[in-house]
Amino acid sequence: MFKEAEELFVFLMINTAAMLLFSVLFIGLVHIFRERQSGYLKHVQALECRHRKVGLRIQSAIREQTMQLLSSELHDNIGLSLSLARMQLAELEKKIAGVKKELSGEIKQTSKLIGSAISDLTYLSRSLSPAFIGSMGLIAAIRFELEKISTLGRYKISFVTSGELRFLDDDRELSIFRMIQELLHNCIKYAEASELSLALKYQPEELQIFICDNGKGIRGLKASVAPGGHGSGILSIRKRAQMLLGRCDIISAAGQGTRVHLFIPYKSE
Amino acid sequence: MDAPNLIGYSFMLKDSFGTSLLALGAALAYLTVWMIIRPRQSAHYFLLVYALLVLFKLIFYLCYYPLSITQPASWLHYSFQEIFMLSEWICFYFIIQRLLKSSRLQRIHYRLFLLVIMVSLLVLLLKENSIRGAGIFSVMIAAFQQLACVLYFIDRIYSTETTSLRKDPGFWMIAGIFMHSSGFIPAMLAFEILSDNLQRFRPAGDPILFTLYILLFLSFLKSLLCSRKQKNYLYS
Repeated sequence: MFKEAEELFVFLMINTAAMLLFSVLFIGLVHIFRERQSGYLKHVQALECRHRKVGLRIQSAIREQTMQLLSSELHDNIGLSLSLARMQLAELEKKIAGVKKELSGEIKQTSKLIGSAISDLTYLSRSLSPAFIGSMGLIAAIRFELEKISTLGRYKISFVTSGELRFLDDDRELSIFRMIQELLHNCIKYAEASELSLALKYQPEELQIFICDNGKGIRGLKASVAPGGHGSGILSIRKRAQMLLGRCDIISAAGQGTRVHLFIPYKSE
Repeated sequence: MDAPNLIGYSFMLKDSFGTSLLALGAALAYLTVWMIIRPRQSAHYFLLVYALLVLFKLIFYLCYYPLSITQPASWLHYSFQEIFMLSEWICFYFIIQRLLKSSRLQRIHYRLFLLVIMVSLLVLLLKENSIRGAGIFSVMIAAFQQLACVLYFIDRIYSTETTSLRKDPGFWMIAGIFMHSSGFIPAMLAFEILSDNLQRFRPAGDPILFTLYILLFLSFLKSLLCSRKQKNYLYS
């Protein structure tokens, strides 16, 4: 069959080269197919991510629009009605001032109560209004919110800022404010705390927000933030933080208070 | 011929065009890089055992070569080869099992493994001529190795991961074994056909075999370098 070793060598070379070529071709084909598939998958993932972001943005815009509507309604309708009622009471007080002195004191008391209700309503209307918060700026809006909480007289509140102040665009500041507002309200509703501290640290790359309380903490934190868990507020805050390309860390245990750390980068893309 | 001369003679083979030395060099480079990187993935440990088995086989072949010039190939050589091939297959099974992500393909591979073990034992027990059957046995194992490699490629095709295959250490491991066994099959078949005149024709085939070993060790080396870049890559 083969006369010389060289002939066999050539035969072996041809066969082996053919098989090697076949295997390299096969591996190459698998590689090309996989690269294309990987590119397609990356494209789909990017689309999903963009879709999710748009969804969250729309959700946030709808929420803000609803709040703006509520704020206007509170200010324009209920606020106005209460102001009218207060004016009428003042008129009534004038009329009966000389006739029934004992009623005059009660009317004054009622007028004071209505005044207090108007004041609360103004606070509420302002804290709901995106335009008002936008015009105030983040720090002033937080102070405004904390002042409102301090009127309850239940909390020892501390608020500090550090680092070089950076102004973010209105939408981002509003989102950050809403997250802080939600966290503060959660603290009032569930924490049973007596001390509340809030710190804003302006770092070179990101804004760090630390909100701590000395309340009862969150029992079963992992379960509550899991899908289907009852901690929908926390999940919503996390989603908002992700939308701002940031993250939200919650450290809590039963009886040990709650610490929430928000890290929000300045860049929006 | 005494032992040092024997090894020295093997390394200086003129007929292999220096490929034997290069193959050993590639193997040593792989082992050295393994010692430097020390990958933690279990697949790399099995690959090291596999590479050591291949290296021992290569050294045995090189040491045996000068003897086989004066004496015909003995049953010892072929039995040694069969044992190594079977050990390689077992080791290879563990590598692929760790690289496969699909449990369905893992089950298929497990059945293939059992089939090969059973067929191998039957072949080893039933063959009359231990010398003549060795080549066929090697070809059979190499063919099954290729089948298992194809399973791995199917697994990669259906994978939803977006990492490039070139950055996947497993891909280079399997690509090397696939190319090695592809080239190994025609060479071993030719040896089997010409087994009566093997002593005369063997020098022609040796460079090809050694070149295949070089390719194998180089791809193993590449897989090690990939896993160094990708330390978080986890095998199941």
